Parts: sequence; structure tokens; C-alpha cells
Amino acid sequence: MSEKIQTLAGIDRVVHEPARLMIVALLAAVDEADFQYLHQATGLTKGNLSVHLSKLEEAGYVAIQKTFRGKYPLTLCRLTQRGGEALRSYRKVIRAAL
Amino acid sequence: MMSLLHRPSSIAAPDTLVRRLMQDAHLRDGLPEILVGGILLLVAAQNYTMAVVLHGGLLVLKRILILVWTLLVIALTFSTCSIVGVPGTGWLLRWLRRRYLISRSGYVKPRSNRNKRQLAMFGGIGLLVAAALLLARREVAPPVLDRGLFVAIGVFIGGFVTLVGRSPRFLAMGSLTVACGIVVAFLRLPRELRFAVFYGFTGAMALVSGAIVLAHFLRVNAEEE
Repeated sequence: MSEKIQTLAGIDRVVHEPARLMIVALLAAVDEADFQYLHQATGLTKGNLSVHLSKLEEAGYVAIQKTFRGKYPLTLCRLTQRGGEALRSYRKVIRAAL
Repeated sequence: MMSLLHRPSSIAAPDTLVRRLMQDAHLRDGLPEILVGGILLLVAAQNYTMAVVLHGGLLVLKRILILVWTLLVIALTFSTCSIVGVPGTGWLLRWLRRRYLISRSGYVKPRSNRNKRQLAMFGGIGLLVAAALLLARREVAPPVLDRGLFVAIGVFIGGFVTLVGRSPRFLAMGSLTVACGIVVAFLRLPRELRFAVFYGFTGAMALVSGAIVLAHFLRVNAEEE
């Protein structure tokens, strides 16, 4: 039992943070989503969301593409393969430990 | 959305969570319901026209009208619903969202393979029911067969609505659709008029539900801006 609990110490902290977990879980459910959608779905402030997306991008979990749709700027976010694997292993660790 | 992440059953079943999130994304603005409601009302109007306006009219005119109306309904259905594996479907819905809602609601592209297995299963059941009704046509008296037909359609469409929506509002709509099928089955009216009543009721219900969801969606997003 204690060994199982100890696996929690090695948990991925990038995914473990609740706001980032929300973003990763949302992006795991869709092909791609823009900043505005994530802003509404998570309920995070724009500044907060931007910071968390940057951290996920730095970790290589989320790919961000800045583009335009007509005259509107569009920030497209997509979960990378590495991000998907991180979410799966996070779930595995949590499930095994709790 | 957030509550889904905190639901223990969702954590235990990630596929369920993924499906719910995608359904939420697809149904959050009420537009699919409004468009499907419009199509059902069109079908109801077609049945009403055939039963009342053109009753006893020229057979050729009736056939031409049925053909034109059916093509219109098929075109609207294909442009509104994203049909799994059929490219180019659902463009009207996407265009409306891009044109009027993207700046408020944001853009999200759902996965293309959602609910494939369950939809295929429902399609199979539908075909089996249709085959059973065709076989029963030879054996059962027409009034009894008609009753069975309306109950079967009500149960099939009601079940489909509940499965697609996966939320209390769709469960309510699905239950009302089943109830409507049963009530219509026992109405003493010609078959085409009963179809008009059934599709008229389900179409109006979808339209009203979609309009309420859209109004709420626009209000909430306008407040956030």
C-alpha cells in the first residue's frame, strides 16, 4: 500500500495543477480548440489561461498556433502526442495510488 | 464543464468523460436542435399538405411535390448534421457558427469518430424495426400495424435523441417523443395527419428547446464580454 502511495511523489506536476489538468482534459476531448473556447470552458481568467497554456507549451504537451480567421485573431491549441501520453500516465498513477 | 471533471464516475471512465465533453461542445449553443426542429417542422408541413391541402388532388402533382419536398429535406439534413464518414455534411451548422458565434463562443473542432459504434448500433436496430414492420404488413391488420408503426417511431427517435444528447434536457425530449408516439398511435386520424402531428410536435419541441439554449448561451457570453 505504501509503495502505491509513494508513486504519487513522482507525479507529473505540470499536469497535476488543477487549471492545467482542466485544459489538458478538455483538449484531450477535441481535435483542436481556440483560446476563447478554453477561456469559457475552464472559467479561468484570460491572463491565467495564457500563463498555463505557456507552461503546457514549454513542456511540449500543447501545440499553439496563432492564426487569423477573417479579421479575427485565432489562437489554436491542440494536445500533442506527448501531452496525451502525460495525461494517460497521470491517470494511471492516480488510479493505482487512490 | 468543470463539474464533469469532479464526478468520480467520469474519472473512472475516461471515454465517457471525453464523449460528454464533445457533446457539450457540440450542443452548447442550441443550434443543432433549432436546425433539426426546422427540418422536422418541414416534414410535418409536407405531411399536412399531402393529407389536407392536396387531398383528392392530381396524383402527378402530388408525386412531384413529394419528390421536391423530400429532396429539400434530404439537402437540409445533410447540410445540418455531421454524418459520420460522409464528407461535406454539416456545412450549414459550421457556417452559421463561424459567421455569427465564433467571436462569442470560440472555436472547437470535435473528434470525427464520436459515438460511431453506438450510432451504428442504433442504425442496425432501426433497420431491424423497419424490416419487422414490413414483414408484419402481410400478417397484421392495417389499424394495428399503424399503431405499432407510430409507437416504434416514437421509441426509436426518442431513444436516439436521449443517446445523442446525454443530458437531462435531451432525456426529457426523448421521453416526450416516446409519449407523443404512443398518443399519436391511438388518434383517430388519417396516417399522414398523424405523421404531421408527430413531426410537428417533435419539431416544435426541438425548436423551442434550441431557442431557449441559444438565448441563454448568447446572454451568458454577452455578459462575459
